[in-house]
Amino acid sequence: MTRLNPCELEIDLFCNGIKIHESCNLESDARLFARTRAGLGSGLELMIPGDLKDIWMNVPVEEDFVQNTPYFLKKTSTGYIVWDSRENINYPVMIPPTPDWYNQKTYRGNPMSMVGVLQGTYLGIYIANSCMFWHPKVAMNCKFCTTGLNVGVNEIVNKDVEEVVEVCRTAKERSGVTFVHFNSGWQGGKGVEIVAPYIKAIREKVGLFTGVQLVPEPKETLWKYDWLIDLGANHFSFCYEFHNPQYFRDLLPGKEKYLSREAFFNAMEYTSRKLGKGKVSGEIIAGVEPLEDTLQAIDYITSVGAFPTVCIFRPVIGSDMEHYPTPSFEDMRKVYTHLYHSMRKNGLPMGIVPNIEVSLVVNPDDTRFLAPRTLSWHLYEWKLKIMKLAARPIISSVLRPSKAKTDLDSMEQYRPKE
Amino acid sequence: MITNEKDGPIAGILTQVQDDTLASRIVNLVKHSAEPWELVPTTKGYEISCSNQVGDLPNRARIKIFRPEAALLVIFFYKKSNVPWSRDRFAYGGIEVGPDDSAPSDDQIQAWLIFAESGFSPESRPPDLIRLFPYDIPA
Repeated sequence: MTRLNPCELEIDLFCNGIKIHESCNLESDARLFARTRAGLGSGLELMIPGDLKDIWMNVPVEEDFVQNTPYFLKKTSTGYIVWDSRENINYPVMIPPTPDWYNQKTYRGNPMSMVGVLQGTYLGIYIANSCMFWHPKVAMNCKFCTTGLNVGVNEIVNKDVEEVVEVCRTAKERSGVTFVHFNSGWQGGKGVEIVAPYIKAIREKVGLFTGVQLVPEPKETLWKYDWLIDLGANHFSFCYEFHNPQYFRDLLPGKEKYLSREAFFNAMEYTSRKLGKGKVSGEIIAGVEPLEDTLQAIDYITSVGAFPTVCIFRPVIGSDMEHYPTPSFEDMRKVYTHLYHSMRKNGLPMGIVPNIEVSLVVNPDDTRFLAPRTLSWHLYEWKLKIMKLAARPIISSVLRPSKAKTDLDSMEQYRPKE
Repeated sequence: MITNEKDGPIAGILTQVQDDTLASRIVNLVKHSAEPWELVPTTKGYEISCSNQVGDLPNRARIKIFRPEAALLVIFFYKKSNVPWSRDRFAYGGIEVGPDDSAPSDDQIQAWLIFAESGFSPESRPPDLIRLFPYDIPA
């Protein structure tokens, strides 16, 4: 086995996890582990330096499969390294410290990390109550998820808008955050209305790129997304998880019963048309359904102008899939190489907004490490650089607080006339 | 069996549960279990943990018992983090016993203990476990 490039190392660490050697002093050096939202953030945040970019990732440490990992985190006199015990190879890494504002209290007296946490360099906030798929007597929750088990245990159940504003402002000032991501499970069809006040408040009081991850609106109410865009939403992501209809049906019983796979496609296509190329994402999980389905999912998502957010399956503690095996490095390398080529083929931008590194997944622009550096690779790199330059004025304007284009009571005005 | 029954702070818990019918029944069944259990005092309530091995690994399952209000007993199931300094808790759900609920039977309580002894194996999940458990759980 040869030395892995930064993205390959990221993939292999997602597949195997890491053990923490006794030389480490993570209690003072690292971020607290925060198992919030769907449970993916329960690992160790680390940064792998690279010539194209530094890669942020959240390495599994808690799950039982980590017991078999060949990787160890060690502390040396020069800093932290990831040691691959199979080949005795060392990779220098950096451990981001706990943000100094995590324990700061909000005006309501809650620690800020109970409101939102950094997952990489973006701020993730779970809004509203637990996903309602967990409510029925026979739960309809997605089998890989632990959201219903988290809310209230590691984070606050109901988040006050002003408290969220306070945390966003602090994260922007102290950690240079440029992007806040609001997500929620199924709220019985009320997700858009629940997230709206947060979006407007961030637009007007903080100035951040704002992403929204909710279950999709049905076809008849897709117009509600227009209202959210005018309130200040810059990005939507739709987690449909599995492209294969059988896996979708079996592993996502709530989404199958109350939403359907097509609803995700409709919402993704609608918002992608509204916001433009590369602003919407389709989220899927790789390593459970057959590889061909994952590759098809990537092609579909990029064909509608969205970018694929591909999670490597992690059998999170407490989930129904806790004992499922993790995928192989070889398969996952194929997935992400395909993702790179699919993004390039469709001319999709990646890495344009500064300082958005999502540690829970392999980011699309991490995959630039996987492709051979041919003439086409260099041409795409140049294209991305030009896109970055061209986007600067827009980025500056979004990062300044400004009046939202619409009001919270104006949703009905967006309903198309009969 | 409770392996740390003789420890100073544990005697305090044992005295405390004597006045609480349900809690004392739980502790009593733990005492008579064949597996080794430990009692752990916490800021609010106390915890019981089975110190057996699951597979080749130490059992991380914990049961926290506390009263958010005088008339309500909450039994919360979670796994402890692998990382010694992490405050993360991996929830598996809970049971609430309010003033209008009938007291759980010994068989029900046994099922909770077996669930913990198995390291929260899905096959041993008690039927009365509420997985969506929207409480702010104290440390």
